[in-house]
Amino acid sequence: MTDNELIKAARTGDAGAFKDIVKRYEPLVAATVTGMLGRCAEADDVGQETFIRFYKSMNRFRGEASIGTYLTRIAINLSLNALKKRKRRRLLFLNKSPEELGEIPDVGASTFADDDKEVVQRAIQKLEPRFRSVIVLRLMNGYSTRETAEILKIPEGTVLSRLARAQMKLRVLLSPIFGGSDG
Amino acid sequence: MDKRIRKLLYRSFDGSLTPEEQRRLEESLAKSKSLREEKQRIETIRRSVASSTSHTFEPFFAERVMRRIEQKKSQQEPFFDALLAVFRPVVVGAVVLVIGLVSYNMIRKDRISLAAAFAEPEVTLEEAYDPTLILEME
Repeated sequence: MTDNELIKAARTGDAGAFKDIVKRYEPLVAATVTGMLGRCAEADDVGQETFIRFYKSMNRFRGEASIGTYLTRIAINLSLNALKKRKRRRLLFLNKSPEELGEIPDVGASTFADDDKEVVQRAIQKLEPRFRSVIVLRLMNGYSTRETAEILKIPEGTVLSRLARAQMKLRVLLSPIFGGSDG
Repeated sequence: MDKRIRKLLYRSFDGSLTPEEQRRLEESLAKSKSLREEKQRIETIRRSVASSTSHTFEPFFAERVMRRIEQKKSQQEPFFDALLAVFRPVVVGAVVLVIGLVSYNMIRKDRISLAAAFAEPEVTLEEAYDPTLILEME
């Protein structure tokens, strides 16, 4: 079934059709949310909330953007909200570790990073949300610069400058693995 | 390494260089070994970032989503039922009252019309514009 057929069926109350949409777009939403928040229970919650929001707004979905872009936009906004909450929690519980707060530990604190993939993910988590979001959309999800700009509602030039700066920061953070000087 | 050339290198991956900037970068790449190494490192980082993507949540994700949707629906239904229970008698009472009033008016006027139903006074145009009537009213 095509996306439009699934949406049409889901609107009439066909739960199976909506479940198919969830299965079809789980990889995209997972890439966005885990890219933004890391692999943690919070990411799973935000992923679920993304689809629940979509379910509620399905009748308003007119198909101007693809379902994928629409879901990515919801996922990014919910992830940014979750990061704000995380920041507030950190301020409230200054002496708690990220593990106690249900977050992943940072790159420097890691003593058991068993492969490069995990270290790369942790380095991405060290970036500020505005840089992280362009890395996730552009490099992880493979959106074009224009699509990234549309999803984040920022000019294309800003996407490009944030992307360049984010790569410079990643290059410094990952210099122990990929070599080169820190500067 | 020249900072401006380095910036050009970072921007070049997203094809945002002008032809002139592209030419300058290519010249610098041909001359500098460290710049070529830096380019290779960034390419590796970009590849690593792309391949570090996780495409799944915990198992049975779709089932969990559907369960939460069902829970939300069942939480909403009692609310709407309660709302209906409160407003139904009010709506029924109002409808009965309107029907009663309309019937009473039509029986009194002894004819079936909208004007009779809403007990509008029967006034002709001449009467409406009769200045003596206005004076009487005052």
